[in-house]
Amino acid sequence: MTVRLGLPDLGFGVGLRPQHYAHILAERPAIDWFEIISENYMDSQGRPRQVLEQIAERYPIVMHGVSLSIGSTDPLNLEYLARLKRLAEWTRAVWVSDHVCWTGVNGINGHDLLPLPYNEESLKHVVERIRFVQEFLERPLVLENPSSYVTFADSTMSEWEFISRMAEDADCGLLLDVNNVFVTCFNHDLDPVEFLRGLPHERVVQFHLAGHTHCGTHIIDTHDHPVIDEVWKLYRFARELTGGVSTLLEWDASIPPFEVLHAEVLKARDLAGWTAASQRERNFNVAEFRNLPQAGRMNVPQPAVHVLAEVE
Amino acid sequence: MMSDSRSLTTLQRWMQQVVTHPAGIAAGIESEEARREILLDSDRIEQVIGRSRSLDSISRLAVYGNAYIARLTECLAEDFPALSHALGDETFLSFAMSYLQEHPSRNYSLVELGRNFPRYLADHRPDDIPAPGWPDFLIDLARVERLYCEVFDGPGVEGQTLLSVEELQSVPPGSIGQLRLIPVPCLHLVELQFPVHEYLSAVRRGEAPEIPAPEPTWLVITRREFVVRRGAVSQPEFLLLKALQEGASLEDAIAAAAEATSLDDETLAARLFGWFQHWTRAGWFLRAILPES
Repeated sequence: MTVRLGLPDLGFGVGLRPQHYAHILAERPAIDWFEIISENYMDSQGRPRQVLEQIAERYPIVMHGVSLSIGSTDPLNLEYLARLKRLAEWTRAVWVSDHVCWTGVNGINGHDLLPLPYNEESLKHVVERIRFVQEFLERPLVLENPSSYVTFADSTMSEWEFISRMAEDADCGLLLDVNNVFVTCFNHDLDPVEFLRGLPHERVVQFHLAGHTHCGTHIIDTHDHPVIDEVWKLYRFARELTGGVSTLLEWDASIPPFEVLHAEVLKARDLAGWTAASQRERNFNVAEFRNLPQAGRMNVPQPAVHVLAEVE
Repeated sequence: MMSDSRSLTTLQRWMQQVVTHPAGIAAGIESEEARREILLDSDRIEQVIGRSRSLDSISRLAVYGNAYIARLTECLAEDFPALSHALGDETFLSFAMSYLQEHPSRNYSLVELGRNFPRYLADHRPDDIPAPGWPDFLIDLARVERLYCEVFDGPGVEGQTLLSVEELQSVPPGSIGQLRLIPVPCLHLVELQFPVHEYLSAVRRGEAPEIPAPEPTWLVITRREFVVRRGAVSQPEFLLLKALQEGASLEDAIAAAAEATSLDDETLAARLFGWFQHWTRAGWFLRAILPES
């Protein structure tokens, strides 16, 4: 078992989504671990919390947030951090992650993962805030490279240089989203291999894999398709560079049955040379979900995960 | 090229103004609020945002602008499916966008996004349409759909022992009037001008119901086994429940309900047993308390 920042390799997991609650509770699938969207459970006193309690009894849980807003120039929300910490203790979260981004200023949350200009001012700002959050949470923070759609004239370094210096200076972990590397590099005419080579591989504690939507001129990180072949190749390369770490598949829109997700993440296990997937697990054809109809729905970049009320 | 005077704070305030502007990116860049942060015409945008080989800077920013509107209006449509159905997609989108301009999200959770939507609709109710009219139907719908969200994820009593009929029957007859009933924390009482609960349920079943005629409606919304439940009650029943919820003793609550309705004490008393049976079976009360003598 590889240990980075004291964090274990959990194997191959998927994002926990409300659409799969009943299946997971009834079938207890042989999945290694689940990642939850922290904000969907922090304040819940209803079904989401009750389901999470049962799932956390059986599976390792990692918390993945979308509202920490580590790059915002607004003050950090201490109430949010306190709730995050309580949830991490309650779920015995193996680690807590969020994104290298900002979600709003002037007290507003746009619920998007907005990119930072990569320069000395942003770096100093983010590093100070990561240090504070790590002290507050009393655990290392793990931060993910977001998909991005703009670059700033104010940037003075590459994203991988920014992330590398940030991780070293703040002594935090990295969540390497391989699909985000592909999306960002396509959108900014960059080389994803150079991006991957430029990261501090020993600080990567987790991979994310997901599908996206290609719009011709740009790619949007929609999490509504299977992982494409090019991203699988990058994933294999990232495993070589890092030695392999916990891997998580995200699927957040046009969500297919759980078995489809499970089969998709088992591809990662095969690539990693772990035990081959069982025949039963392979009976689900992920390709069928490649072109699901998108009637009436725009291509919305993640995060867009929202729990709906169950009404009699 | 980095501007010496442009801080991260300035850039973030500018970008937020631009990508959340209801008229689009170019209008956002030209807006007074954005120009207060960075004085820039939209044709000089590359001084702030770079272009890619295949996409210009405005189009790149539009990915965030479109996503802001799409994500949040989609979230509101999911929380208010019957309101969305009643208005139609286009009108709902227009209402939702105006709402977001007036009440942008200030919370880390999307659960809170629609909290002020019913109030927003009430604040903007057209004055020239007599009540109860279609605006009141929409406001009633929004109130109930928002309550569904709050009750679903709010405090509940799953796993707790609730008040039973037997427990009530064991109270000495001489003391029953002083009894105070403690409602479950998920019990909500709502007075409406339209029977929106049936409309709501039909929409959730995938049907296309007609907008109902106005009719005074008293609704009880609660949660059992993590699922939101709702039921209509009569006006006297509602008033009695309301008084009990506000902490009145049983005899005071009965008197208040009788006074506010045409029912005399005797008729009311005759119906009480059936009501209490229904309420306790439905799990509306946590326990009964007798004040210490």
